[in-house]
Amino acid sequence: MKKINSTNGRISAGLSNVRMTVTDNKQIIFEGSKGIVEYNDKSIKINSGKYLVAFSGRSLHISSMNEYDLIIEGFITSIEYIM
Amino acid sequence: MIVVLFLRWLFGYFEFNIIGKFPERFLNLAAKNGVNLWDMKGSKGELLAKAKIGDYDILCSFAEKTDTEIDVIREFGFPYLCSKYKHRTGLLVGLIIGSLICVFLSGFVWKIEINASEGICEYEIRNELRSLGLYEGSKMSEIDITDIEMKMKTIDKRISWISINEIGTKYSVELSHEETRKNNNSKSAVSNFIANDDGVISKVSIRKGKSVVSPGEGVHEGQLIASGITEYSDGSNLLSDCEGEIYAVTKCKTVFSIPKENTAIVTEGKPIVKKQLNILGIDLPLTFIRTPDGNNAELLNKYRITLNGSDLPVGYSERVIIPYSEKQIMMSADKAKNCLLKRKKLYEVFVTACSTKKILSSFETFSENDKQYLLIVDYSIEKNICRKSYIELADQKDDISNSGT
Repeated sequence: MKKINSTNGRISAGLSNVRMTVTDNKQIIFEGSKGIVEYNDKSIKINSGKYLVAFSGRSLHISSMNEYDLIIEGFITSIEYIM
Repeated sequence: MIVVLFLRWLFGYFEFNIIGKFPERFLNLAAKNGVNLWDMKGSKGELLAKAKIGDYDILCSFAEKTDTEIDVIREFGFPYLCSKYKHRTGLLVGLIIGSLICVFLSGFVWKIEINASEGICEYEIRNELRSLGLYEGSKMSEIDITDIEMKMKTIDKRISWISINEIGTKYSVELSHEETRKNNNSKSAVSNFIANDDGVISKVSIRKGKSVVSPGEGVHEGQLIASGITEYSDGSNLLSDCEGEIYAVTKCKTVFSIPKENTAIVTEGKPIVKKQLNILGIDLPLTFIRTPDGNNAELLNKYRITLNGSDLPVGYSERVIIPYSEKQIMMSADKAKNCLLKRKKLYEVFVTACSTKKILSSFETFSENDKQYLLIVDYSIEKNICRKSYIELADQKDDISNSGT
């Protein structure tokens, strides 16, 4: 992780080939996905190539997705990097 | 977002369940192949999502590859609605007929709105527009607005400006008449008051000018009663346009008459009702009854269907035909006198209510000749006897003082 900016509860984290835009703990726009590894309403794990990014919470769901980007919505409680 | 939802509904979409060991693989495959999925809700070994109708086949092939199953839960959108009602041909026919009627009727004028300045008779304008082909129910394709505007100006010379606007099937006509040219003299004129009747002056109330008569004085018709030229002691004069009232008690004679022989109308037989349906200006008879020969009085009742304040070009009318004949009736002297006295009373009410005249006393004489009964009434009336008489001056100016004029 190179840089973290915080503005009005909105965190933008720049990764080598992953970009996440987190709005409060309700929505995450994930750019640079290489595939979904796990998907249920409590946990979503996404493969970014070098590592997995795991999102935990309640009522989690992917509201829309394409090949590289997806939008995760729900009540997010943690974001974890699994190397 | 609403547009997206509408487009999805228009092209149709379905909600499905992906059942298998790894539904995530299915999602990855769909994403890599550019298949758009939305509203994905997952639980262990199961995943709920929505997709377009067109993607169904490709999603089935993904399901085979990923060892999962697709179970369609619900279908949404217009294509599904069409397929649901495809056996109801009547609905489709009704839809087509309804659409055709709408298209057909939108080719006619439904309403004409006239916004005219004060003093313009809307009925006259409507008649003039009708003669030029613009009326409720006329074909819009046959209407040439520019031509009608020009012809309206030619027909009615009073129209100074006219604009016809087409708003859907409604025509809005806006026009104004030329302002009546004001008498230029009225403002700068110098005038006197002269008596318009013989009488005895009872009251003088002059606001501009100078009265030359006083109460109790007798005047004759044409006599100067107020002057527009006021002379001052220093020799100067004030020229003014006389304003005010001078009342005088005058005598007048009114004759009321009634013919001895009158023609009365007597109905014969029962009234005949002819019903008609009016569609786009065409009358379609609903009853076929022959009109009786001889004299007939007609009463026409028209009913229009109104929708949202607009008259539709569809209506219903009833024509009531009443056969009648004429009969000569002789009037007795007593009846004639009563009738004439009632007329006299009505006349008095009208005179006092519609003018400044005040009836002080009256004396009536009843008489008759070969053809009619007469009631001659001599009135003593108090009224304003002022009549303006303008003075023509070579060098006329507003309210100026000219010494030695």
